[in-house]
Amino acid sequence: MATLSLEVTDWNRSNIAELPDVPSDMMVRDLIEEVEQAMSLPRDTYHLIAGGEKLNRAATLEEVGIESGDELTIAPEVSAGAA
Amino acid sequence: MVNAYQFVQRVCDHTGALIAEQAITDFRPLAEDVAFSAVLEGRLANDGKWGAASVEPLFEEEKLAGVTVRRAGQQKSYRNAVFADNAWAILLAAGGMDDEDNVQEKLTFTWELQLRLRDPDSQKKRLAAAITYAPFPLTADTVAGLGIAADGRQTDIWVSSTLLDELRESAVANLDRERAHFLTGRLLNEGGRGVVVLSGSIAAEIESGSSAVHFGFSPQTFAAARREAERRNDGLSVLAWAHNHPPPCRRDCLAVVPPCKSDNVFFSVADRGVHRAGFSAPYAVALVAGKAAGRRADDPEFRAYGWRDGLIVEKDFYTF
Repeated sequence: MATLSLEVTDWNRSNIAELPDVPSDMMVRDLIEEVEQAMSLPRDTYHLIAGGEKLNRAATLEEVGIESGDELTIAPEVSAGAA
Repeated sequence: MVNAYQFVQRVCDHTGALIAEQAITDFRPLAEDVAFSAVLEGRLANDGKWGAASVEPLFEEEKLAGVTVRRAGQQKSYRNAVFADNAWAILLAAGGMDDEDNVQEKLTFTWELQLRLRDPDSQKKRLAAAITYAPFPLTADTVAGLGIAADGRQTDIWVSSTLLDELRESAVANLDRERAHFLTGRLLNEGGRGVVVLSGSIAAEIESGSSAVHFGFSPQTFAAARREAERRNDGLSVLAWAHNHPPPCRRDCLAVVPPCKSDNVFFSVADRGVHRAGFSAPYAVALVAGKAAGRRADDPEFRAYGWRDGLIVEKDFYTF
């Protein structure tokens, strides 16, 4: 198993998380949980984006093609509304 | 965030029975508020080197009354009320509002905070993560320096009349569905008070759908707004967002003469969720446009909302 060095920024670049030892077989959803914890974000609201694409939470980082040095963005999926 | 304790929010129904409970993890608005207040008052440099915050319980008369957040030698206390929005989110996630027959009973829920010591043996091993915080996007401008005649008016929010006209046109053109915009502008320190001066907009891309009662922000919506702001490179920062609430009777509303008394300008539970998740910065503002009581839907009213001491509250704003 390889380890990856990743940088995750929030959508407006106010927080940047540097993660030097991320297992390549880590599930995307587990990495999201790690970043939510590190950035004190609300749970179960966020996704990771790489290359403009939302990463499949149920896949591993290796399966979605994430490589060491990649920069990811964490951003929420939320709905506003009058309902 | 360094927490020796776990803060658990318990939501109970009208009989006192537990509906759901959830550990609070969302302390970021408070941690940012502590740093921002100190920066505005000159107690901290605006360099982002504030480190992580710690959260401790605040007791009054042996009851948990709130939390004290410490960061970089600064501290600020917050009452339990700052977690009220979470209670709604917990209730909704638990399906507590699904039964339309009992909505009134569900609306009488209560909530409380409980404090639990963390068990160090049961904690999951975390990845090493170093967090870098960006300085707040404060500029050296002043309200007067930007050519705004305040005439004694004190407010945290100024909106250019050109921008408000643009948002008004969007609301009028979308009486049957919600649209949203990211708003750009300048953040000022006016004598220790954070003031946003909004003058630009970026239409939010519709990635997750839009209807008469919702606008979906996908992660790509946020990323696209950031890209567009960076592409413009116009010295403005994304400081706010805006959206419209169409009237319940949509375009038919315009046929009602005189205009009815319905008022659709409010900050809903869902809107609060968007603000908490995407706009947690203490200076972040939200504008809502909609039909006000006694006014036509094509003459929408705007209301502004933003953070004050960890709470999302309605705020006054002025145009220039």
